[in-house]
Amino acid sequence: MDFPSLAPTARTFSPGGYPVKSYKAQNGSEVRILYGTSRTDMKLSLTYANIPDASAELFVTHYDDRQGTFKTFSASNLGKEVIAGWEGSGSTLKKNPSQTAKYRYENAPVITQVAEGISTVTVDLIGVI
Amino acid sequence: MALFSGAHGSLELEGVKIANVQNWSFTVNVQAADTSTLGTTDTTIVPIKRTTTGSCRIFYYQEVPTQKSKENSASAFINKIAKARGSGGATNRRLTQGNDSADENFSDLRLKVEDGSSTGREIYMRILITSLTMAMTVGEIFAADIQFQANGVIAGIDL
Repeated sequence: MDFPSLAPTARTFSPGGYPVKSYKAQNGSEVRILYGTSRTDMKLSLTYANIPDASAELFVTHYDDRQGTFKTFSASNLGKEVIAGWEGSGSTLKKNPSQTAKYRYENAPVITQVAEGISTVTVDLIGVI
Repeated sequence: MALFSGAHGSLELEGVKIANVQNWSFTVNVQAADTSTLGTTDTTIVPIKRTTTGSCRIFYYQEVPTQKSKENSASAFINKIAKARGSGGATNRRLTQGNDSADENFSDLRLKVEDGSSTGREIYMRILITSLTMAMTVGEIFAADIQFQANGVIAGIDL
């Protein structure tokens, strides 16, 4: 099942980071160990303001399909609508450089009813490898 | 073709025609929610809520000097929103504005256009008086400026 193909009204993206562990000696010098070469923990937060309730339900259905935060889905499963308005490379917002990341729900979608038949949905996704 | 002016207007509160109305007006606003998405250049909207408000101005008068005019005067509005202490000096009074015995919050208001027909044209709503202002000013007639808001959808409209 594909992620709902709706254009968000607001989008926040954080590119995450690399698995680095830092150690600091007593003299203040720092040693960093890189445990992997794939960037991970990308945060993609999407807001769908004032959408019909039927559209809001799609996110719950997809959340169930992914068994909540358990199953991942491919970044390519995020349709082009998710990055609507972004004029850079789509892969910047959806993939990591090694293209090994997949997305999963960081937490459950939140649906806020704003009027009869109209809701606002916020979805938080996290990229994992 | 018939046009209408202030001479054709009247106002009824709780079924009683109010005398000495200088003006009335009403406004219907529809609140819209923005449904524009990223990547779009023009705003799209969806209607989500309608609000009807209005105002009127009633001259304060006495049909017989020294005797307060009650039912069909500005006092009809004043007494609905401005309350004195209750018996025993109770400092709280309920905010209900309708029929006290029925504990109603709202009042019946009809804004009418007398078009020569037996019933005239009107807009009829259940209202809450949200503001009452009275100012005594040199060179001006003492009057009550009243603002109100309809509760829910307009009860009837025949305009």
